[in-house]
This record gives sequence, structure tokens and C-alpha cells, in this order.
Amino acid sequence: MIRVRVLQEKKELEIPGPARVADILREIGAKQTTTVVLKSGVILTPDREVEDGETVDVLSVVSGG
Amino acid sequence: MKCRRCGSFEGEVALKRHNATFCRNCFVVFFRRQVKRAISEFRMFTPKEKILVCVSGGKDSLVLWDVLLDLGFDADGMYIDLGIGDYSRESREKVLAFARLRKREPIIVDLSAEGMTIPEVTARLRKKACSLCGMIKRHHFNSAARKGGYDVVATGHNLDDEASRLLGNIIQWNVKYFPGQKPVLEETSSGMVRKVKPLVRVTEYETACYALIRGIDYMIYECPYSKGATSLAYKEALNMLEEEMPGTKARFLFGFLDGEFFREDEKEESEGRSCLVCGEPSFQEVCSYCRLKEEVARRSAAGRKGA
Repeated sequence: MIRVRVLQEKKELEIPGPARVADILREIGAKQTTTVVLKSGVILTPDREVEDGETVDVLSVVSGG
Repeated sequence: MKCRRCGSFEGEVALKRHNATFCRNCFVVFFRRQVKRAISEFRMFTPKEKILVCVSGGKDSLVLWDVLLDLGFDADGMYIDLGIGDYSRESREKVLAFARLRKREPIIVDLSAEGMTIPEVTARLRKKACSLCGMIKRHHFNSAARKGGYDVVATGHNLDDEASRLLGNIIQWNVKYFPGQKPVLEETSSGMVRKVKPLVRVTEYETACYALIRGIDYMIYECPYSKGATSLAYKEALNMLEEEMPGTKARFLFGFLDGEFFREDEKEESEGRSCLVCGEPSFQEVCSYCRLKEEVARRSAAGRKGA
């Protein structure tokens, strides 16, 4: 499984791996245009594959008010 | 996928609207060029002018300050402590930490000193926090810029902020607010300092990537008062379109800015006199900030009397 840490919501999810970043985002209902996915602090493009057992961080970039 | 610019390193930031993927180093170059282009294209300021950057601790304003310093501009940061519990405490720490790293001394205004924190004001007046907060910030930034001899006030409004604001103004047909969408609002004879938005060519995604690559530690949590803000709904709508049609937000905003939408009779009314209390520009004898302050003080006193 891939561990997905949704930073702003302070929650963790698990999704089956391996999976492309674009698929991870779709799985958690996030948009590519508004979400940064990081692995060990490095930004991943949507076409990158994340291996089973790895952890990624998900960060929403939308600010408002 | 390899970086489009250098062709050597693995791409880290994919930008569909530019049909390009950049490695971290080339993305930093690309991003700074976008900001530089906006500054020169809209004639925001010159290298000789003194800039006051409005910083909140969020990604946009800290990135703006960072880029302006790296581009060699004379830019100071100013932070307003809104008194919103942990949110304000953490934001302030982020600003101070960034300023220390860049060896700059930020100007800090603490609203608790005058009993005007956002929780205090909203509790007394039961009005929407975002509009009150905007007015309070505008007052303090303009006042500090005038007193400090700054030529220009720079804010971190990005392409998403401006496109969503435009969508809101069009949906509501607030034509009178169109002039306020310009990336440069010129100074007025009554004392409004020039206001500029150097991040107008970059998206929130790009700004966040820049912050992460540059190691800028910013506040990732949103203001608790922004929940349910209409601007977020407009952003959501535009981002749905952007996912399907990359470049939509930029075409929407720049098509508007390049178009013939600013008629002379739609010019935003400039504030033509000085407030009798604080001396800042005002439509009336006493400016909206001083009237707000007086109202908050009056209601606080009435509350104490009734208790």
C-alpha cells in the first residue's frame, strides 16, 4: 500500500500501490492544478509512479478569503 | 520526463498551461522571469523605488518578498497580527523566521494594541470577517507606506486570486470594481500609495512549488474565518475548467486586462480628502477605518456597562 499524508487535513490514507501520482490524486478526489504531491520533500509530476510501501505528502495550494 | 529548458535533469514541476516540465533549478529561473515580466509589462516600479511587501506568512506573500529581494529590489516586509489565536501566532512566527533568514527586519503591526483584532471586531459588529479584515489591512499598509516613505505597496495576489475575483465581479456584474482588477493601482493625490501585484502572471500551484523548492517555510493552514468564502467557490469553478482546458485562467484574466473594459466613466472613485482623525485618504470627513474603530469602542463600552 502507498501511505498518503494529506497535510492540511492532518489525515493519512492508504491506497494500493504502485500507482501514478495522477491516479493517487484522482483516488483522493484532488485536482492536479491545485495539489502538490511530494516524496521525501521532492515534488512529483503527475506521470511519476509511486511504489508500493512508499509515503507521499499531499498539499493543497488553494488559499482564499 | 526531462526538463524542457535544460534537458538534463528530471522534471519536477509540470505546467500543462505552458506545455512544459521544469527541473527545480530551471523552474526557479522560469518563475522569476514571470515575475520580472509582470513588473516591467505593467510598469509596476523601478529598481530605484522603495517597496513595502504585505506579508501574511502564507506562501504568496513570502514568495513575493523572496523573489523581489533576489531580483535586487529594495523590499521590506510588513506583517499585521490579526489576533486570530494559533493561526496568527504561527503566521507571525513564519514571517519572523523568513525575515531572519533573509536578514531583514519586518514592520509588525499588532491589532490587539488598539483593541481591533479580527475576533474583537467581528464579535462587536457581526459583519463578515473577510471584508473587515481587508479594510483594516489596507488602512495599515497604506499608512505605514506613507510614514515609511515607500513608493509602492506590493501584495501577493496571484493569477488565481485575480481570475477568481474577476469571475465574481462578472457574475455579480460589479462593473464598478473592474478598475480595481488592474495589476497596478496608481497613487492618488489624496495619499493612496501605488499598489501592485507582481505575482499576477503565476498561479497558486506555481507559487507553492517555488516556495517548496526554495525551502520557504510558509503557513499551510488557512485562516479559520475564510471557511465558506465565496472566492473559494469561484476558484473551484475556474480550476474545474483549468483541469479540462489548461490555460483557461490565464486567458480569462489577461484577455480581460488586454481588452477595452476600462471606460473612463467606470474609473474607481478615488478617495479625495484626508481623514480628520488619522489623516489617511477618505471619502468622508472620517475614514472608514476610524469610523469602524469608533464603533467597536462604543459597542465595547456599552457591553461593559450592560454586564
